[in-house]
Amino acid sequence: MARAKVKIPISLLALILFGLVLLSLQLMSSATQESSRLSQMYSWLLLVNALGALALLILVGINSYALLRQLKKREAGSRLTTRMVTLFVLLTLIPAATVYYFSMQFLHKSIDSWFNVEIDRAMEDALELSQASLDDRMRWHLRQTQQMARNLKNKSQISIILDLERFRAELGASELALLSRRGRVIAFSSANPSEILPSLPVEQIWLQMRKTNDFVGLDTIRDDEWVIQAVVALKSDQDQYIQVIYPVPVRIADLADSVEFAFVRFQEMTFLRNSLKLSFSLVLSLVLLLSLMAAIWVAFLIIRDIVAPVKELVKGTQAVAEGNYERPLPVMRQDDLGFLVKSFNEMMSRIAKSRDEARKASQEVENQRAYLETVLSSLTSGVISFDADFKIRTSNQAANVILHIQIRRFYGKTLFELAREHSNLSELALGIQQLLEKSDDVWQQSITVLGSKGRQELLCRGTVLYSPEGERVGGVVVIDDMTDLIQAQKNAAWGEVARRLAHEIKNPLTPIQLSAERLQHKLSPDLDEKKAAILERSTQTIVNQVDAMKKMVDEFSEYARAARQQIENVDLIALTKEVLALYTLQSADQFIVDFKSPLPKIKADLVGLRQVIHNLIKNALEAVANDGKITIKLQSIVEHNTNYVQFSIYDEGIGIKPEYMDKIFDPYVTTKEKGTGLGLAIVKKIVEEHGGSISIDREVKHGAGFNIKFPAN
Amino acid sequence: MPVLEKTKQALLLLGILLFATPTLNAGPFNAQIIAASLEPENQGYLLNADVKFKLSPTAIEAIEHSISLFWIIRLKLYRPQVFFWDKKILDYSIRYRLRFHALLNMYQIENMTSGEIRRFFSLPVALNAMGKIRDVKVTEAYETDQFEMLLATLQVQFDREALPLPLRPVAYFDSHWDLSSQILEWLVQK
Repeated sequence: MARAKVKIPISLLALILFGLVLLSLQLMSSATQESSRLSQMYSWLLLVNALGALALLILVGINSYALLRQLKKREAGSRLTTRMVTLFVLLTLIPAATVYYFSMQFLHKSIDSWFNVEIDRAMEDALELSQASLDDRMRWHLRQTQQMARNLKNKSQISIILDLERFRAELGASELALLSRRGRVIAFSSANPSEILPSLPVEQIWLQMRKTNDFVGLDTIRDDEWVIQAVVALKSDQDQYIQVIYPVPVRIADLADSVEFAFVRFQEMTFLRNSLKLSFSLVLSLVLLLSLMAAIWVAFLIIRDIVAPVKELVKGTQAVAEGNYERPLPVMRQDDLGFLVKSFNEMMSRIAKSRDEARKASQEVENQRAYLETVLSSLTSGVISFDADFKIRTSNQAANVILHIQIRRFYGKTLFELAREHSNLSELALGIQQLLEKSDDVWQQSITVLGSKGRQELLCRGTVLYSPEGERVGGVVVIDDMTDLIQAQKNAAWGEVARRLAHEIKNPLTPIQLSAERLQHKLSPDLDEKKAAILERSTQTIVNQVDAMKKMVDEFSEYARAARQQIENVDLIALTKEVLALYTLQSADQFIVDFKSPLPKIKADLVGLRQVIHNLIKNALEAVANDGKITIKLQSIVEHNTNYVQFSIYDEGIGIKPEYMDKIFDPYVTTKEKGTGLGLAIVKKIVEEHGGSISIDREVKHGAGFNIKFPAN
Repeated sequence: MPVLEKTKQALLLLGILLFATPTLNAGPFNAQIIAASLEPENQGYLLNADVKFKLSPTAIEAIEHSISLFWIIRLKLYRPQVFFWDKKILDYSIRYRLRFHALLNMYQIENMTSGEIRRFFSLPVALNAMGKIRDVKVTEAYETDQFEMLLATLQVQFDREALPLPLRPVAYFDSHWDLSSQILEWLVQK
């Protein structure tokens, strides 16, 4: 369970502090009066106040240091606090320092004014006057005592003792004593009957008596009562002494006391002059320091309290700037600042609500956009959109596949920049750019592109996009790769031609051949040798040419033959090895094989696939003409997230002329003298029947290379 | 228990040696206890001591300006204990006041404890008289065994707090007012 923390209000804390400071200062002020009981505690009070001032100084120091650190860290509210504290300190310090300076001046001058030569002299004169007055009285009493001693000189000790009381009364003394040489009391008379013993002379008086035979002095007895003490030797041999104590009249004693008291006080003050200045300065400084430090500390507390909501507001605005609207600020007070914090919280809550709504709307828009993008990316047609300045905005994946470039790299750029970087696409790019700029409606155009993957027939359709206000805001171009379609149309046409050839030409060939052979057989015996030779040569030519035509028609038939496939899992490595075995018997050294096993199997018609490999090897052998290496590679590749098995064959022959590059797979296209031009066409047909593709490896510089890709299982 | 007694005495001697070392650091105007003795008497002791008072020029000037100076001669008796603080069995003090009597032009020593007042014409004589402590009878607060060893300490303390108010703060920081003596310790056998 959380423990409740009792927080003392700052105003109460400040009141208590000022109360303590005032009490302490009041006590110290009272203690400066000598008469006060507190004067005994003066040093302690001074120490306590000094420690209090030190403690407050440390507190202020800690607060200042903390504020400096906050300022250095650029914490919220630190600058405002610094400004307020500085202002407060200045406002406090300037009048306080002024008052302090003039108080010190006044204090020092006041103390100095107490002392001057005249007063000093007057004091000394007064004391001297008192002393002179008392000296006169003492001398007079000494003379009285000496007279008494002379009168008693010839009297016996007994008669002196008997008349002692009378003698004392005659002298007006308060006490009369007859003393022996050793200071023993022989006889004693006192005006006060309760006194049974006289005040005996001290050691010093006896010492003086030995020198001068008499002594007179001022002394005090019983509660500082002034008396004159006179001691005189009674006999010449100093055997006996009389001591007479004379009272000093009360008025004279009081005056003497008063003068002495004043003199002593003045002497003390003269001595303490600098100490007084120092002491009062110390107390004044302490008062100033205590008050200032207490005020500054309380200022720190109050300013911190005032700035706290501002600090929270700054933190709140920082949080809002960082996008955090969720944390409401604590409302610590009910004043204007509290109202400000409440308003801020309300504002934050509204902003948070608006943001949530905006976020929701944005999410919906984003979902729509993502859906549209998904639809676009699923299209087989390439789609490129442009902004009002004909700069590319978006494209789909199909566009990348058709153009064989990453169009994303050209977002925000025009088609001119694309054309600059990809020269093979310049005709397409410039054509589209021109159409985009000039057309106001839907347009369509076929453009042929010679790319890295060969000749492509692209059908481009475009339209201009208008805003609801009718302003031109961009355009969209849809690109379709028509190459395969056109090729399929071509293949279909050639197949039709082949079928017609087989049907229309092959049938008359056999009667022609048979008729030629019959002519030779029937006519040869009837002709002379020369004519028979001509006949044989001619009929042989007819037979040979008919064979050649039959062969050609068979090949056409083969090309045109509808696929009769028996699909099975085929290990292409094993099949290639099997076919190669037929050729390696004749020219083993010519073949270099590179089979990257394991290789996935492919679904294919074994007969068709064998013919493909035969045709390609035969084609390569004819190209190198017994003089050059043939390399066959088999490997597994991944393209567009699809696994393929790639069959590659390279020869070091004469290669393919550039003008044949794009139509090498068409029927009747051959670079050889004896070729029918159907070998590669048949290969392409079979490959495509298997869902594969064949292409010329254009990176081969010496000889020719073909890559065939079959989808792997 | 002779072994325990010997151990106690050895520890006490060590303590005395340790306590005695600060006397080496006496200030220039410290009072010095020349000699001190505590003779057992019927119900207590008789204290005799010779103290040499040295006054700084500032202190002399203060006296001549009729400022009273106060000293306290403090005698303490402890019963040594091995494992605890020594137990105090006696705390006796005599308070002296030295002042210049302007009217009489004499230096006055007042024993504030007994009320005895003595006056002298010169300051050195007055200080000398104040330093002679003779046959002051002190009675112990607790009963002690006969032949028990006790630790006696004597110190002459100058009472700064009895100075006039403005002088007090200064007196704590000015060596001229450092007029107290070091503590003298010795063993007393009853």
